[in-house]
Amino acid sequence: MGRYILKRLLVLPLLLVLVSIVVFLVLRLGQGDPALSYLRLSGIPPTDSALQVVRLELGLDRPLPEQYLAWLQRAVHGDFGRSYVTTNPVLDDILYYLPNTLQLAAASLLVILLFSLPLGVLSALKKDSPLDQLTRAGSILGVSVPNFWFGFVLVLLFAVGLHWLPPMGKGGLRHMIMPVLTMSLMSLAINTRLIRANVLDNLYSRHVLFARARRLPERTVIGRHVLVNALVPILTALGMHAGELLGGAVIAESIFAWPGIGRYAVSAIYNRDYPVMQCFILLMTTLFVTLNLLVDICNAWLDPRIRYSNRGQQ
Amino acid sequence: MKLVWKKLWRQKRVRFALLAIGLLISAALFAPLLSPYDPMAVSLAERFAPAGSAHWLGCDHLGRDLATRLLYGARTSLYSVMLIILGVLGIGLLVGALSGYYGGVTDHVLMRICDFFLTFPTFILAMFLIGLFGTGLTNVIIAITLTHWAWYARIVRSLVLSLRKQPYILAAHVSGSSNLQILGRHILPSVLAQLAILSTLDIGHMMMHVSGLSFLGLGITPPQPEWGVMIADAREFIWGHSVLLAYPGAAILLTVLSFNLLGEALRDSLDPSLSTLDSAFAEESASGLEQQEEQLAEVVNDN
Amino acid sequence: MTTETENLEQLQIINLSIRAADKWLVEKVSLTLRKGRISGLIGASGCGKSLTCQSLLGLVPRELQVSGELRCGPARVALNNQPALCRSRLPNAGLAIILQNPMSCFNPVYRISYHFRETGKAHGYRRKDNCPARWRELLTDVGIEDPQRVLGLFPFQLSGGMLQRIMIALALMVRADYLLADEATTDLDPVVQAQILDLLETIAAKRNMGVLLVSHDLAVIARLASELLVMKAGRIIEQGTTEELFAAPAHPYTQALLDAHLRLYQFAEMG
Repeated sequence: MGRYILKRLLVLPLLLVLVSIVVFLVLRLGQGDPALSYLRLSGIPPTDSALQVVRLELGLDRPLPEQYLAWLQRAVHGDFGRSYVTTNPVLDDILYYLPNTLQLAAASLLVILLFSLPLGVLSALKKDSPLDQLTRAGSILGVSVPNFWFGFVLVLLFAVGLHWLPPMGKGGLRHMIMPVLTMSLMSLAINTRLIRANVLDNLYSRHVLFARARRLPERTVIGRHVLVNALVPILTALGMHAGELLGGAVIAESIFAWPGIGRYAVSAIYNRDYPVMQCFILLMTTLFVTLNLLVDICNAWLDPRIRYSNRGQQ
Repeated sequence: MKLVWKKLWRQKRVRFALLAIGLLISAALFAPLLSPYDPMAVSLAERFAPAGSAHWLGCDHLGRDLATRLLYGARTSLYSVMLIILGVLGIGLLVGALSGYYGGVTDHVLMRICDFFLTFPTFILAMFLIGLFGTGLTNVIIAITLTHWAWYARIVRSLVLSLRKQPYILAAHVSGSSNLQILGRHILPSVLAQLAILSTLDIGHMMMHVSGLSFLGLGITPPQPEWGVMIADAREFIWGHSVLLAYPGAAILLTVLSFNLLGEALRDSLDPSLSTLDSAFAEESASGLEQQEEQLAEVVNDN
Repeated sequence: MTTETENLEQLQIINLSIRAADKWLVEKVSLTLRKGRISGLIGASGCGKSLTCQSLLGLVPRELQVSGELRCGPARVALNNQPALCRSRLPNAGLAIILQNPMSCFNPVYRISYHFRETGKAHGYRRKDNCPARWRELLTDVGIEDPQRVLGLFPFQLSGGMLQRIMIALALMVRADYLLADEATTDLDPVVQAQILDLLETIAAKRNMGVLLVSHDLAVIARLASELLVMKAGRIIEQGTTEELFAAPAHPYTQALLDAHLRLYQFAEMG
């Protein structure tokens, strides 16, 4: 187990370095002349001499690997350059907005787990009951509702119509309700279906048949032999859907004018603010990969097959 | 095949989905015939014109006919999703089949590339790519194709791997069919059937990505008629003219729902392992027993 | 006429029927198991053998309707598909089942020792009796040579034959009077299959356990069973002692089964 975690932890920085190299190269090659965009956004007329100065200043005259290493060195120290638009250090801006987004994401994750677990498990255990049918219909509808529209439906209902909730902005808990619902609806629906399917799979599996044949109490059968075994694929999928959740955060922040990193990134992309884009994708990928690593570790802890198959490979 | 079709058609959800998708496709195909208006023609005199005989659903904030924009929006959505699906299936099939069939170094290299693409959260990567390429229909299609192909490549690879071990493929090898023949004649058809289910289930998801990006201003750009763009346009008028929001949203919801229902019905009827009662009986006919039974049946018939 | 003590030595299954929505899967099956004796139930796949076994323990899926009765001495229990109700066991007639494909019957998440612990707990073992020493004893009884190591392993680290032995050990743990062996040797290679059959024979004799050996393979059943039931399409079509049936099969299906069996054997001898 320890060795498994160690191995995965060693792979993580390698993967991130690879990602950063590709992102760096793609941006350098794809963005045209960074000196030009730098000048344009600084409001300096792009004369030849000005371009020359900026190129030297940004180190654009040196070979690419050297540029990358220089950039990496600065990045490791938290220097991702300055935003072309706000001219603040990118990391400062991002760290300013990030907590707001994480707040939404954590709340959504909580909502998703809190609702999808009981709904999925109950609808599997009471297959074809009215509750199950309702859950199934609700989840297929939930998967089909576009979140960038659902947010406005909520606004119309709770802010415009009923005046219960503030239509936008950040404030107390009440401000979070609609953004969190907007973000979590899709993952909630997907997750509920997934949990239901996995519980059913295990419910009809042969190891559960044998557990019942041994006359274990139903509580043990469900708790130890159905739910524990269903958890591994559910966690895996949850990790995968974290990406969807981050995407949902971008949209929810845009709808509700939530001062998060997604909204910041959208405007950066709009303005082709490359240092911000670079830092944004690296940060999001790091988050995503780390979360999936945690999921993998949980799974290895839950399911010995994962631990042992890994040991076999070594 | 006929039987499967009958089984599908008997379900209410399938009839509903096919009807909706049929309407959508005809709307997209015949939009210019169905509506006399230009979806992009601004007419400030008709700002927020109410629904009536001239404008069935009324007009938007620039006096453009809402119904017309919805029709043309269907065109944009279906067109982009069709291209994305084609791209994703094309790349996925090629990479997955090469990887699964040849194995070894080819497999290793291709799968590491896939892994790399799967490292990123899809929507975020699509946003980033748009930042690189710029906005617009073509770039959205490229960005979403690039963010989704790796899933398909992996699925194709694992399908090919499991098919390759099937006795009838081995038999084809022994009887001297070439690799290419086997791929084309035996492996491709069953892989395509699986992919048809998967991509039907995925169409809605991709459509939402296209519209979601457009909504953020990172996809298809105004004044192009697109449902996500229409929602973004209408958001300012949520207090006064909320119907402007209702129609494009309902259009997306209905479309995505139809494709999801169809995909699910396809999966349920082509993948019987999901029916729980069947698995309860599975042990009766588990491995090896069939042979014995066939032998018995033969003997019984002989007598 | 049977005396009361004889009655306690046998378990009768009376008129067991299992119905799906539109058809009978098992129809009016009656059979008797006797302690210390091995009975064989043979039939092609899909004839309802497994369902018959599972229904005795209330393991049939909810979608199916089960009716029938279990009798042991004066006690009677109605059969249904709710494990909870079937749990009220008949005194003197504890049932255990061992299943086909043992690899899939253990929960891969737990070690073998855990399977013993929870089984013991469910069957009212006191804490000091539900301990590794006791489990090792049981494992030794079913012919496992290094029980200590086996207890610490996960199911996927063991072979099918080993797991089948462990299943039998678990059946011993619940102090079953009758053991249903549902295709228990089907997925095993011939050598292991023979070992498991030997083990079943020994246990039946030593522990005075009644065994119902269910198989599609006449060779397996002919080897151990003293009496034989032939099942086809959910019904018992013929029954009698093994010698009788082999000597003079009455039903054409039984004849066909025997013919097929003999042909296979002739074929094997020729080859």
